[in-house]
Amino acid sequence: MRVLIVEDDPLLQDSLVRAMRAAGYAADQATDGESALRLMGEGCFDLVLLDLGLPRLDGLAVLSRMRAHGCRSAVLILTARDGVEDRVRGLDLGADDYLVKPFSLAELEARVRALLRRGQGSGPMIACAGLHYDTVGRRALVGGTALDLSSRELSVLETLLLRVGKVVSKEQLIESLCSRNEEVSLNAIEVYVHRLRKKLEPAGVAIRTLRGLGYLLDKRPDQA
Amino acid sequence: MREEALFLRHHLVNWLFTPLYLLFLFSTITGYIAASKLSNESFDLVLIERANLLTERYDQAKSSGAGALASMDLGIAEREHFHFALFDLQGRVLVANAPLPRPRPQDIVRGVPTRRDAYLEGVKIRLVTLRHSVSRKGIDYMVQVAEPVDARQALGRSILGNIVVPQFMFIVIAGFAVWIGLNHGFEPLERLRRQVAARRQDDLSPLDESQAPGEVQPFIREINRLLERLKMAMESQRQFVANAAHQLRTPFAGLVSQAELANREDLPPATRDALQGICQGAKRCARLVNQLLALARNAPEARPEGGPERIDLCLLARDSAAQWAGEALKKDVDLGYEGPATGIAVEAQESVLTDLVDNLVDNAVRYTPAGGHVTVSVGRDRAGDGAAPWLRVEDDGPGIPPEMREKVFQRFFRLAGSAQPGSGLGLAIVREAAERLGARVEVGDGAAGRGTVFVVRFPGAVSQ
Repeated sequence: MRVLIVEDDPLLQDSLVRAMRAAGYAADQATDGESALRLMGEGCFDLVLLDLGLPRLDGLAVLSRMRAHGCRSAVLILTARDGVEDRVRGLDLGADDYLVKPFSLAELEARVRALLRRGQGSGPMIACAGLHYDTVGRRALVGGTALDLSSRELSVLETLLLRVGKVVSKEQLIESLCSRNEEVSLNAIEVYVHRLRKKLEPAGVAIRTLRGLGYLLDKRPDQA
Repeated sequence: MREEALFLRHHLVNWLFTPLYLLFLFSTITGYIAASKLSNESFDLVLIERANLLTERYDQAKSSGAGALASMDLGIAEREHFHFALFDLQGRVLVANAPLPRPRPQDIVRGVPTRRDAYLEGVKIRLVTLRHSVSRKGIDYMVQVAEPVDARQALGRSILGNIVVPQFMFIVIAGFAVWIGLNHGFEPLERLRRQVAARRQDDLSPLDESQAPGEVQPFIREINRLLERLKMAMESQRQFVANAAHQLRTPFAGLVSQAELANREDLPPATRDALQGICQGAKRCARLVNQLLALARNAPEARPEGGPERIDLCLLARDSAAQWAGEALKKDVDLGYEGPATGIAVEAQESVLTDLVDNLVDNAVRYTPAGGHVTVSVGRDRAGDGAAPWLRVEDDGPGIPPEMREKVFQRFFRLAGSAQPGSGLGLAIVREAAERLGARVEVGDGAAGRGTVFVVRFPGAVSQ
């Protein structure tokens, strides 16, 4: 996996490079927009970490040019601007995700993993505490044994796992099930979540209910 | 603007009406004096004429005998209060119908009738005295005729009335014309005022110069130049704020990530704690920067990014609450949303509304202790699309004492004894964002008298 880090702040660039190398990726670096485009022309990257406020050529300009040249690398925008407009413009121009500075490395690494998985078209495994989920075989494993889950329960679990630590609304869960052209009610979602909770108990993960907001899958607090 | 217009108007009214009134007074007085002089003159002439007539009759009667003399006058005298008396030059009465005063020595001058005012039994009279010379061998005698002055006074009053009433009408009409003229003249200024008053506070586009009268155009040009400079200053401030965000956040990001990387090494506990402290400090600083930026964005003098749009308040409130879910769960605070899933819209700038809701929820989660509850809810005053929407954020935390409820909205104000790290800016942002949106923020006790509830009331009449 090759990652290109485009960031002009030396301190942040240094820690990004170290974090990516520690995660086992090959990391290259550029400090301005023009050299970033040059590097992209020389070789293919699986992922570009792109700062928006770059010297010489603005990050959004880099993004639109690389997309115009047909570069299909995944792009994670690192921005210091939290304006809604900036975010929307970045995503419109073909960015895959964005992170607002300052961010924690753990969050960055999680997003990078998710993007690289998406780029592969398949993610081999998603892990959370004692739970491992095989995105290709659609199997949930606890301690090496597969859990007995219905296909709907698997869909709900997958949706929650892809957004670990974040709230997933009931509507979003219904949406993930509706691809099967079936009607799903809000009550049905509650039933699936209830069953999942029981079955996931030994895995050390918890599905928390947030009143009126949805569900959040996370490690149980008693798990290290 | 308005006061100045009134001031100018008063000035003009004073300068137009004062001379007009003085002129009116002057012409009335002179007119009255001239008219009464003329009328007095003509009355006097009639009186002298009568005196002459009287002498003729007296002479006739005297020549035809004393009997005729005694009755001669009555024909004239009984009519219309006409008094007469004839005296010889020694002042003895020859014949009389009223006790008129004797002629004065200076009256006994040949040929020239004298006139004066006198009193007869308490009534003011006009008295004409003349010396009648008998042409042939006879003796001269004095004739006095008089009449009460009330007839002349009545005429004087009527003349005065005839002068004053039309003059007064003239003044009123002139005043009315002046008033209409002034209003008409001031109309372009008034239109300009309304134009300026109807502006949105952030509208800095130039005023329409072509509509204004020539004298005012230079002012408007200067105001437009000022507006232009103001616009540039605001734009550069906004730019500065955006750049400052970038310039400050990136080093913080570097600091946080370096500390986190270092913390992954096998380190002694003291170093580990120190690195953790650096991380937390940097994150707090970054949050402070964010909040200062939000404050700069929402300050009344700032220009919002983009115009207002229709935003689903329910969706935005749920998104915002969901953002703090991790924080709430970590603290063991039960965070929830109540209200419809979608369908309550407000007109707002998204960034401003987001700042408002985020800071309210953050504030509630931050100050509610473990085991507490935070509930975000959205609704309308009453059913129906036109009713005003509201957003509530309620917690059962320590609450805010009533006397502090106004103060918590001040910048950098923090309640004494709050252990939570905070900037004291969150609620200031809430207040300013609400003002920007035309919404009202109320603070009250939470349910069952515990905790705090913030209610944001949005202006109504937005239908889905």
